Amino acid sequence: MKPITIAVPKGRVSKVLVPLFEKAGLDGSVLLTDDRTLIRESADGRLRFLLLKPDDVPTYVESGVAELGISGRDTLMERAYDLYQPVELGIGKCRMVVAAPDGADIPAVPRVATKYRRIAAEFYASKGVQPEIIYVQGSVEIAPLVGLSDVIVDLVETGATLRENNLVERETICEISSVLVANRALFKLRHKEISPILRRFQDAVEG
Amino acid sequence: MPGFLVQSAALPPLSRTPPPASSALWSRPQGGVQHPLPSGMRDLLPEESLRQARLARAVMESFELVGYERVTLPVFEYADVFADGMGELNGVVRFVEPESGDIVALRPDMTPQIARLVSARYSDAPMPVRLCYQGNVVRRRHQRARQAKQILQAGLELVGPSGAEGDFEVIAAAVAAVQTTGLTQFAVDIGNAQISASLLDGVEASVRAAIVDALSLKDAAELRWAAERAGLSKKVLGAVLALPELHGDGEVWARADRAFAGTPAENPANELRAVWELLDKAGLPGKRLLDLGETWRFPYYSGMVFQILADGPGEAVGGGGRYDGLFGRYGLPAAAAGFALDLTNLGLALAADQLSAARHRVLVVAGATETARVEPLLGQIRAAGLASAAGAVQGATEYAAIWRYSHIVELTAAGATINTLGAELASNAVVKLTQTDDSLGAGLIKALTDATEKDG
Repeated sequence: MKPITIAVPKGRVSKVLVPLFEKAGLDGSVLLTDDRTLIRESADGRLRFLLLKPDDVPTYVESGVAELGISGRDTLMERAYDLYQPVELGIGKCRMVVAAPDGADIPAVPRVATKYRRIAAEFYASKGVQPEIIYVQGSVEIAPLVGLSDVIVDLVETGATLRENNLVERETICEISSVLVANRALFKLRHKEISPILRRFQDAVEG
Repeated sequence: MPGFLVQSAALPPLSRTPPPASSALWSRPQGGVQHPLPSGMRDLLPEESLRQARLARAVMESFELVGYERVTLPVFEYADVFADGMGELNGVVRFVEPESGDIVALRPDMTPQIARLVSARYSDAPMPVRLCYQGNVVRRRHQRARQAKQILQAGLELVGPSGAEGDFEVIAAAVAAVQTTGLTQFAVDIGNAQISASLLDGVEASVRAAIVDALSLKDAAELRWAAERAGLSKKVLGAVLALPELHGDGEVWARADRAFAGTPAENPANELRAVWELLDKAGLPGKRLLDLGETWRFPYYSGMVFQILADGPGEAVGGGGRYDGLFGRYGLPAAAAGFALDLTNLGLALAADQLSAARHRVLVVAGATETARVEPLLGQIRAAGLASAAGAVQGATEYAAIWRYSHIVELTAAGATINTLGAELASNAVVKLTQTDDSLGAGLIKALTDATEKDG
């Protein structure tokens, strides 16, 4: 039997992922092995993992080289992928927020520094505001401090980075967590193998 | 044995894996002068071009065999034609025609064109109208893994018949076309656009859009969030929340009966069940799957929807359904159903199918005088790791094609002949060996191994 391939993110989420796999009765222990291999197979040969940069997970699943993947809702919202998103995993929880320097006045047409152009644009559009969006890849917090922008739109987990850079959360755009995604064609072609996996994840999340 | 060379009636040559990258025709690096193409556009070089042309021909001939006549449609026309059928024109390439100043669009879909054509030219013709077409459609897809903008399609439209019989005719034609090309492992996935539509009747537009979005993603969490704000009755809410799980094979019907009892979804579910039963009775090849929660990209679907799925492309090989309201928008109120196959995806599916199939199967046949040599040779071939079995000379080619043997070895008084099934060039398909001594076995194995390696 061909193993089911799951694209998983390296980094922040992967540590909480293994206990979730365990809770779902699936063997994800190879994810913790301390080596540099990017393709790993579970001991029972039923699962194969691709270790990817989080933003790349949906790409691998959409093109069908992985049946399933674990992706942040932020990535899925930012770029509309043609995928199924059947199970909200409730791990890697954080918020998408608007933040600005403490006490700063925000102009009616703000300059917004963000990695999430689409999410920011849609959020402001829903309020009837057309901001100037400035794309940056990282260290977003710096932008309003040095005058690149008035506010930032970014993911916040604990808020520590914001506080350390003297930024204050002004608005919450949405709650974010990790989602189990599936390729639309393979989800159906291999439903006999995939459906039980989804059900076990669903039970693990609820239980 | 006459006809020992395989005729190209079935189309295995098309399903060959691409030749190795070293092939001069397959891959030509751009040298010297650079002429970039717009993103998503590409050339097909001779070998790929030939394979795609053959695939298109096989599919179109299969459509013609079941009574569909070919029409050729313009590559661009007034954008309004597409907007009338498809509503929003997201991802459609539009431009102003310099002569008239009108806005035209490169076709993103050919069904609206057929609707326009039939309304304009065949409005008083006797029904049903059966037409088929092939050609490129153009769609922009941003930031996607596979950014194909230009998609070669072949499809057909059945105008007139409504209901389960019409649905069945269209699905059966799609299955026959796919089968003609040599695809063996595929699934037909059917649903009914009316199921979710009937449950969401009367829901406020923005809430409804959020629910449909969540349904199309099978996003249970978002679906619950949106559906609980839609003011649905308890029964209907339960049915809506059940939709993402109502997919699989025939066992889904029992769960659907419970989920839909006493809701408006009962009728469309029963209509679909009639189609499912017709498909069951006909015993068409391919797996049959059901998805009662599927919602579709094109808003014109009004009833049965289906897609053909196979390993390889990572998305559907083709799909279609029923759109009884569409032709009316062009002035000809008539029931209609149809589908299109994506020939690039079909090619990818065929390549994957070939890889997964047991490729190296050898059928050994011998005339009456040579039968004693069969058993020892089978042993030698099997010892080399190739599957093999004995067969009869009479009808060997047909037998081998049906049972998916990759090679036929015919033992003759002069030695042996190896025939590779479905090889592109007949002259390469037959390896003649003349040894009559003990070295024949070893020579055969080598020739077979060479032949199978070349194919694989």
